[in-house]
Amino acid sequence: MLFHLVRKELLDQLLSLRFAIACVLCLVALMLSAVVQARDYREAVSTFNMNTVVHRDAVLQKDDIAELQRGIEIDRPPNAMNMLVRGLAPQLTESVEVRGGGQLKFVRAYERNPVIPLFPSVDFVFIVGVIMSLLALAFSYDAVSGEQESGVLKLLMSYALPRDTVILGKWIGGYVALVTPFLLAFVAALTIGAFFPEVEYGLNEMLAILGLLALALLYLAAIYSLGLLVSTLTQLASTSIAVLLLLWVALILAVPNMVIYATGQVVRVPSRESVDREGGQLREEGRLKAEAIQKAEGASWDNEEWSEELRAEIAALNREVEVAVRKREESYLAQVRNQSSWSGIAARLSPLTSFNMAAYDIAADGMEQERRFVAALQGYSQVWGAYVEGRETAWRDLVEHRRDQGEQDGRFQRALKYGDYPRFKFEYMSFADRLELIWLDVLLLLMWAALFFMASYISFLRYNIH
Amino acid sequence: MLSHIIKKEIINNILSFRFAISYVLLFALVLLAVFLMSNEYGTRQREYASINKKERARIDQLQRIEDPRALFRAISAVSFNGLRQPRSASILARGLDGEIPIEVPAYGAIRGLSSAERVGRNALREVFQAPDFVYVVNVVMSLLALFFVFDTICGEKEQGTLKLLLAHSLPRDTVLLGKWVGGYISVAMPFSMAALAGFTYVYASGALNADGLWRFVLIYWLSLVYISAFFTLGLMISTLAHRTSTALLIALLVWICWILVVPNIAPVVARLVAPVPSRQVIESEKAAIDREAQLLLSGIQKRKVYGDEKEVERIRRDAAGKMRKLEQFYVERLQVQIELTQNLARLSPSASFLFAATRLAGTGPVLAGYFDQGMARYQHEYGRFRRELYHATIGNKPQDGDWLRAEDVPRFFITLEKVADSLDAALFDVLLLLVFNALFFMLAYAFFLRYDVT
Repeated sequence: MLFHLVRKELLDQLLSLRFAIACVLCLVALMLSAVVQARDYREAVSTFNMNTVVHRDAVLQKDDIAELQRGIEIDRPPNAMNMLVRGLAPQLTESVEVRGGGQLKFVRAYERNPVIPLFPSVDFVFIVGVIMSLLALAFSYDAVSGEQESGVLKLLMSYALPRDTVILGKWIGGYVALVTPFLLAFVAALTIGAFFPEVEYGLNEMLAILGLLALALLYLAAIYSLGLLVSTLTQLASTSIAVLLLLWVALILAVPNMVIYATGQVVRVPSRESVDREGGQLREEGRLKAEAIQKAEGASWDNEEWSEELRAEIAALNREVEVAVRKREESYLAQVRNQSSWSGIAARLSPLTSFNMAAYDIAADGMEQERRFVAALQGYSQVWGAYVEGRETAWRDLVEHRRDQGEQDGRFQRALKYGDYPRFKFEYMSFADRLELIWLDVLLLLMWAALFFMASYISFLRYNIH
Repeated sequence: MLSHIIKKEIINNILSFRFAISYVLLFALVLLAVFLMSNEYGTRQREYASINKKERARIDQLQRIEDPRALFRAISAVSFNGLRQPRSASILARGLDGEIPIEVPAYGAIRGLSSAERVGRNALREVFQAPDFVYVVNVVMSLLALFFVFDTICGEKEQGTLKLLLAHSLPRDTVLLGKWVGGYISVAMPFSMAALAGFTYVYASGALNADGLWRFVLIYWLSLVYISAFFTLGLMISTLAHRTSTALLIALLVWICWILVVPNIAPVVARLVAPVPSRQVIESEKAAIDREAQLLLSGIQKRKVYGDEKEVERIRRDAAGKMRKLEQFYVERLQVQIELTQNLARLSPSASFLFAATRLAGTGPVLAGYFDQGMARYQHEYGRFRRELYHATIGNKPQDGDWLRAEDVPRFFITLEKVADSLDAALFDVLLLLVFNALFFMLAYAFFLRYDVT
């Protein structure tokens, strides 16, 4: 019996105008975004390849030990998942200046075309999160109330059919009709990626794509169930669409961004600039203190008659200042993390936030991936620092040695080559790690879907059919 | 007769369920938007003021240093970075105000980010658009306008009242006009109430000065034009369809395409049609030119002990000229792309509205240009300030006068257009919206004349 119900629902939907609209919209939006993202990705890959060669040659051509201390440029390989998800990393690929001792300098990426930041970018996450969710509601708003109006429901219920079978049949039929055009368009979008030889998916990416698809289906199930719920709560299709549009505007367009700004006003964080100033002030105070000590000792910058004690004292002072600055920096980072996590919790009132965040993480382009990238760079910075130090001692030994042999110095530093410098290796998170990040959001989405479906079941049991 | 139709339409709308819903929704969203964004602006403004005060205090402190050598050392050690004051009208339209850097270096390019800055950001803000007044109008109000009107003709046809209405001796244009006026009033009224509440809040809290309040009023009028464009579009859809469910679906489809798809596809198409080489490519080409010049120079140095002054000069000039040409090429191409993006996006009234509103708020694409100008001016003035300071200290007995004057330290500021100028610049988009209005209304009229009312 369920089979018949599903079949009827499916046929009903397939013949409707909205199915045609969904087909066209999904296909156009997903394929357009796939073409765009694939081109961007291709450009990023060629930039990355060019930059790695340039930056490697720059190191290999260096022949002065002082140049090594100026640091090395490291390139982040592009992430193949950017084909679908334009995540949180500011650019698809970037060059980072790395020096010893954990000093990193990222390029400040700001868009040169000032029109682009005015509009959100259209990627898979946006299409599913905003456009598809509206379509899901358009598929389900009249599932029950529409049949009530046309009188079909009364006829249907006059057969010996339990209500749970009816609602389940409606859910399955409508949902299948909703996701079929979506799945087709998704496959088409992936096929477009295959036309670009730069886009190569490893095992991790394949699994991530499947995960992303599952996530989208889950999210759509939650929104679709919400539509079904409202449809079983109202008697008129027009009321049901009014309520649903209100809910959609609130949940998808208003709640995520408004809640984030509201949380920002409750959990405050000082601005980056004022933290920088505080650091500068701490350093300035340290400098003044050091000067006072020198004055007390009667030494000045000009003469070199510093005692060992004075040197040690000033070095200790500098260390103290650096520790204080780092502490301030860490407390700032903790504050930002605190704010982010609170606004994340509050914004998850909307299923869209859960879907977005989980999609970024499963595409390895979320905040956790950013943290790992920075941590990897910092690890490399230590390696690089050690390498530079090693080369320096080697160079000094060489100078001593040649001087002992009576050679003139100055020329032979060109004999040094740095072909053996340590290379930076970076891999995006493994699929298992990504799954670990998103399970909470997946549970939340599951909960929404189950909650809405159960509520619609209960309200359908009490539905007044006339 | 017209007044009767208008009255009927208004009463009909006011008594409907969706009127109650949209009234509540609009009131809540507009007030929340204004409240949140003005609080957020207040925070930024306070931060700016406190940093600015600290900066002034630092200069005062420098002035108080007696020992000339210590003073010179202290001045050499400090750098005066320029700070950008947040735009007060960003309460209404945040635009690029959050995108453009806050701190400007006294020389050189804008400095890169440290690792703490890279990791220490609230990423959620980048994911979703800022919920300002213009966002609410652009996205929510357009949807509500369509939602109010999508069944105004076909709904009455379904109910049979249209047939009844036209059985009277009523010309169809009067019916359509009456429906338009009545429906538009019942959409614009709740919106105006909500906007008035927002205006009162901004006025009472003092977040906007007189200039900003004028901008609010202009943006409000602009919003009315924009809402009317979508309302008329909905009327047209209603005269095209014969069933409300069809009209609703078409309206939703058009809304999705115009609000969510067309403006976002425009930059993409512009990038395909008018490609600009990426900044990285330009930089590496510049580096290549530089390397080549260095090689030539070192070659000269090897050949002759002191080098050939003229040749060195020529090589340097050549390299500088090549770089300038490259930069010019880049800027020109970029300008072409920006204009193409804007014009393509204007295919959707949403983009026209956004451009006009951000222009009126002073936070639109033009802010990026003003920022670049402001930075160049600041760096130029700062260079002169340093040079003068340097000349003043040489040969002068520092005790002789106060050669560091606080008012000489240059300040960074961005030009703020006068309201009239902003309006002038936004006029094109306003006209475009009016054209959309007229076009839709004429189409709706043409369709309604041929409408099968039975």
